[in-house]
Amino acid sequence: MTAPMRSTSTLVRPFTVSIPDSELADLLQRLARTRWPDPETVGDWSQGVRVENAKSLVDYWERGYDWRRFESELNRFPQFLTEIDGLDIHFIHVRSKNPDAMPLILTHGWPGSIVEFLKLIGPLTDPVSFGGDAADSFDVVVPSLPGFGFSQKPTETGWTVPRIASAWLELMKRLGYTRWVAQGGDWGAVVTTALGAMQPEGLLGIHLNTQYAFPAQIPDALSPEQRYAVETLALYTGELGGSNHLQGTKPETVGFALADSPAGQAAWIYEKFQSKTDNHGLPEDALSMDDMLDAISLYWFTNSAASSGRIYWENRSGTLAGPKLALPVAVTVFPKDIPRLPRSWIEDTYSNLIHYGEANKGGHFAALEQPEILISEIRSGLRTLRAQAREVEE
Amino acid sequence: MIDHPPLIAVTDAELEDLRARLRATRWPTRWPVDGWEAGADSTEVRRLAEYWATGYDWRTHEARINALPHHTAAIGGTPVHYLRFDGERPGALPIILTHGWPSTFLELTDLARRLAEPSKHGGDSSDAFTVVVPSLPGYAFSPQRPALPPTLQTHEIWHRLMRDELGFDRYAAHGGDLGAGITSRLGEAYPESLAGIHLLAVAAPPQYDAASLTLDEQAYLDQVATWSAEEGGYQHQQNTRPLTLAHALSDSPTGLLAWIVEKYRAWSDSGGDLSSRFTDDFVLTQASLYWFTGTISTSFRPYYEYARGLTRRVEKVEVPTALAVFPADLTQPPRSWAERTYNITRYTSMARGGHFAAHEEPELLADDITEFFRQLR
Repeated sequence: MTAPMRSTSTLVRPFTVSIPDSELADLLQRLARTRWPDPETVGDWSQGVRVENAKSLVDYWERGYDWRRFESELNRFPQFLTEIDGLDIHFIHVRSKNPDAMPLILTHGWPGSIVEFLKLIGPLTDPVSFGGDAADSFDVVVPSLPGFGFSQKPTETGWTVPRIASAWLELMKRLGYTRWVAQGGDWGAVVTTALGAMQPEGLLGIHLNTQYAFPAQIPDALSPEQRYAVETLALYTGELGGSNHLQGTKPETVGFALADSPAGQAAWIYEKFQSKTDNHGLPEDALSMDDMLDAISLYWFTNSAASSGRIYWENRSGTLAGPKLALPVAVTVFPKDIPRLPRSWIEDTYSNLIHYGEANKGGHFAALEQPEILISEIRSGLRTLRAQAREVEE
Repeated sequence: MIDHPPLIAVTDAELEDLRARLRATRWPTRWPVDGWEAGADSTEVRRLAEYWATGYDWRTHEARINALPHHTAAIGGTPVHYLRFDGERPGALPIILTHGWPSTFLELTDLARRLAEPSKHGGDSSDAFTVVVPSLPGYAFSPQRPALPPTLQTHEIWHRLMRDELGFDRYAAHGGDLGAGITSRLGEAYPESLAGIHLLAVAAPPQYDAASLTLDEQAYLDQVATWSAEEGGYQHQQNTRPLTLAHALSDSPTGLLAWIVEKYRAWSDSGGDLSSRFTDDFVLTQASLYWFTGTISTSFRPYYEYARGLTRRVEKVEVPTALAVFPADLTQPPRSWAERTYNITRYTSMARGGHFAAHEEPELLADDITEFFRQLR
């Protein structure tokens, strides 16, 4: 008896984004014939994305937005595909010119994407050109989660967070990195936390801008900060939790509509930009139309509404009481993040907390909302690991 | 015979637009989860969408819909669409039947005919009802109210329709799903007018002492909690951010179809086979009604209003109440649980059928309604 042959290609192939003209034309046709629901009966966003706002967004998507502009921005970064665990993983990989650069893998969440990190790549890889210090140089790896963006969509179940984390280990190994660090928010923080819990050889530490650090049992007596954390967490079982609940149980049911309707796909994501950024009521207060539509268009052209939502189903038994981590952990808390964790629980969960930062602005989409703050926090948060990185390399 | 314009006359352009959208459906990539385990099954949705675009003949169903006994009343400034099936003999007890989500009046027409003309279905003409089947505000041909409460609530509209518009001082009521809530509120608010109410589901008591729960009641509450966690995602979304979802469902007929067909299969006594309980034509006519009237968004309103505490909560229903529990319905409330809120005088564990009982088992349901109200005439 022989073992079944399994593709073991470790080839890293260059990749360039090039959406055919026919798909651009198809999108414009769909947008032009959008059939809208009746408008809301409230003055705010409490029923969901307001019709007038959705119409403005879609109107700009149809008439003002330039996908080719974004595509060429994206293609300025070296991108690759490599098959890991049977799936092609897409990633951006930019090596710093500084030989002492520390390798860093940045992981996005839902409805996030590699779009979030584009503004970070230059300053992290080449700090001097952006007014920083050469000593803060990173090599940057930005993968797309399985089922997201230009990564392949799983054709089997079982792509849980630990499996994604294992794929990331393989990716870093394949790129030749033996000592490296990891960063993430939202699902990216879940994956990064899982990496931290695995404590693989070579992972020196992590930075999280979402912390899964709730105690397994919420105590009865809470400080004001702890109470706020519990209240923000409750939004996910209440007002803001519909999409998580749906995608955790019936991702396919909603996937049909989102795959077929670009306006519907846009609204599904746009709502999160409204409810989870640091704004005065409108998503445009926190993010530019172009940034939002870059993200939305990436979901649309890769038809990944359904396949990305499945991450909730695959990990539906997970909790927000993260594992206790022993490796070095740096965190940055953004004031309008949901949930927003108190320092006490963060310290309880991460026994080797090497950096605790509180940003003065920003929300759940920190990388997209406040790239400069996040860049500064990643630099300072992970700085103490550099000596170790160099020693071992040498 | 028709001396008024047809209720619905979809234009050729609208029909062609629907078919073009269906043909142009962009499908999600397949995922090898066992059919329906993670939501609507791709093979079944594709099969139905294909038939909707090609074989399904809307014009036949449109003509049948237009041939139903339609009426419209203006109640408190709100137009209300309803069907009226006169009882086969004078003095028939009036009854108002209320549908739920994701349904329309169409689910209730078979039941309505049986109740109105029992002698044509092996029954006794003395059991005849005069049957009123309204469309909920925001469903099919009843427009949604343009503002949130305080406006007339649906049960208040129903009572004005029955008493003031139709002149029924004493009447009966039946409902399932959202219709069970509306029927409960009718019974609670107008005991002097309601002969009794017949329900397929019951409201939870406003408060109860956990220590007083029987084992059956605790098992039922566990069943409700499991159902909410596993099956309640749609409700969570419709309760909290209905419009976000409505953008996609208003624009994509395939998405709309998937959204509702999953419920028809899961909530019926189908054993997993949609076709065992619903013809493709029935499902697609329901979907077509939602699509052509553009009402999926407005159909979510009762969820949002209830979740926001804008709908009257049922506290104590004193009128005689029957509960018919179908084995494949979402949950099976025990009699003692219902008795905490209602004056339960009849409790029937039905032999077969699910959430769409009026369509799935019209004969069993008609018999149960008939026997219950026979004592109350």
